[in-house]
Amino acid sequence: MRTRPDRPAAPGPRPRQALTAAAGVTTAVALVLALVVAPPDAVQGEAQRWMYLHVPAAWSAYLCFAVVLVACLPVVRHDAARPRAVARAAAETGVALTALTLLTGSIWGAQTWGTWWVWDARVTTTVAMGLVHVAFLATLALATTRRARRAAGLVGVLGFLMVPVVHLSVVWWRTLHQPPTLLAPGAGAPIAPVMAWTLGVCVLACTLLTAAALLTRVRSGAPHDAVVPARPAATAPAPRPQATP
Amino acid sequence: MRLAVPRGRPRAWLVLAVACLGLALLLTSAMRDGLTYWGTPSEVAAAGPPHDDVRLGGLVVPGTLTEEAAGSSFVLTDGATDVTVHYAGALPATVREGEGAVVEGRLDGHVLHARAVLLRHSNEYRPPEETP
Repeated sequence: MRTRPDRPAAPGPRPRQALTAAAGVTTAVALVLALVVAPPDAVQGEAQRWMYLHVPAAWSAYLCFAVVLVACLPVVRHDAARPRAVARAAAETGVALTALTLLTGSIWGAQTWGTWWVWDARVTTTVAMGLVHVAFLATLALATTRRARRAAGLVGVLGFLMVPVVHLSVVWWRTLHQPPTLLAPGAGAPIAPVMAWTLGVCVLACTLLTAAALLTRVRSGAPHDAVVPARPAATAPAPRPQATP
Repeated sequence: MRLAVPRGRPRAWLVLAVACLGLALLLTSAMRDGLTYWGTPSEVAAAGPPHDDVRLGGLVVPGTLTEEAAGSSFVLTDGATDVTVHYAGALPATVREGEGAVVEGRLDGHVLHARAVLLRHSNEYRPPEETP
């Protein structure tokens, strides 16, 4: 029942199209707000606009890894096939967004910190979060038995532990990265209302885009299962690691 | 140009090996050096004369920043201990008085000869003030 191939792998075209349309409209509004309406920062100048891509990308990566966690629970329990496809799509999207976070952070850092890359706790744990999920994808691709797939699901569940570590790394350790402004433990830091609004719309746009990408990926990736040894040309879904030292 | 990338299971094994190796490297370096990126001037002063380069974080004391083509200097403070930072050449434009900075270099008493000066900006965001 769960693996019946004719069953649609995700919501049909109409909800998906509505989601894609909402994502498109929100993204257009977000771009105008981030590039035109929001003022440059008093200290960082125009470079601060990278925040409107960097923060949503990081948030969406967290969200993807939360989806991996939830989807992997039934995989661990009884090797569920559909949640496994969702977990794989979410991990792939999450790894791509982690790479985008590191890339935008690097450019922003070059313009404000004065360096492209530092191995401070925030950057180090973010790279580790990406690598853990690359390892999860590889484990999933290699799992051909029920037992192995359940073990891979456990990697996906435990991998989520990296999310709070990354988010709180700037609080737990002294980093070059500044502490959080909005999702901060205790009181956050002051941010001009227009900047907060812009960031909010950007986060919403990125979340919708991520959801649309995830659904598309689940649909296209659902028929594929583990890479079987008999078919050497079969697709291995694990992407290349994005940032290794 | 196409690289001969293995496909299928060999590729998945390769990706797994690279990811695990990367994680192992990050973990060992974190165990060795810790995850604290910088020390305060007071901590570094209390630790005694350092053998290697140090990385100090603090605030640039307003009114102490001098910039010349031959070299720049400013005073970095954590509120209790001050360190005078000398840097050969012009400072990066992002280093400002009253803002955070992280400097890397050789500490000689209360004078630091910096190899690198990085800005550590705050988590506050606001538009530039209107100038009447």
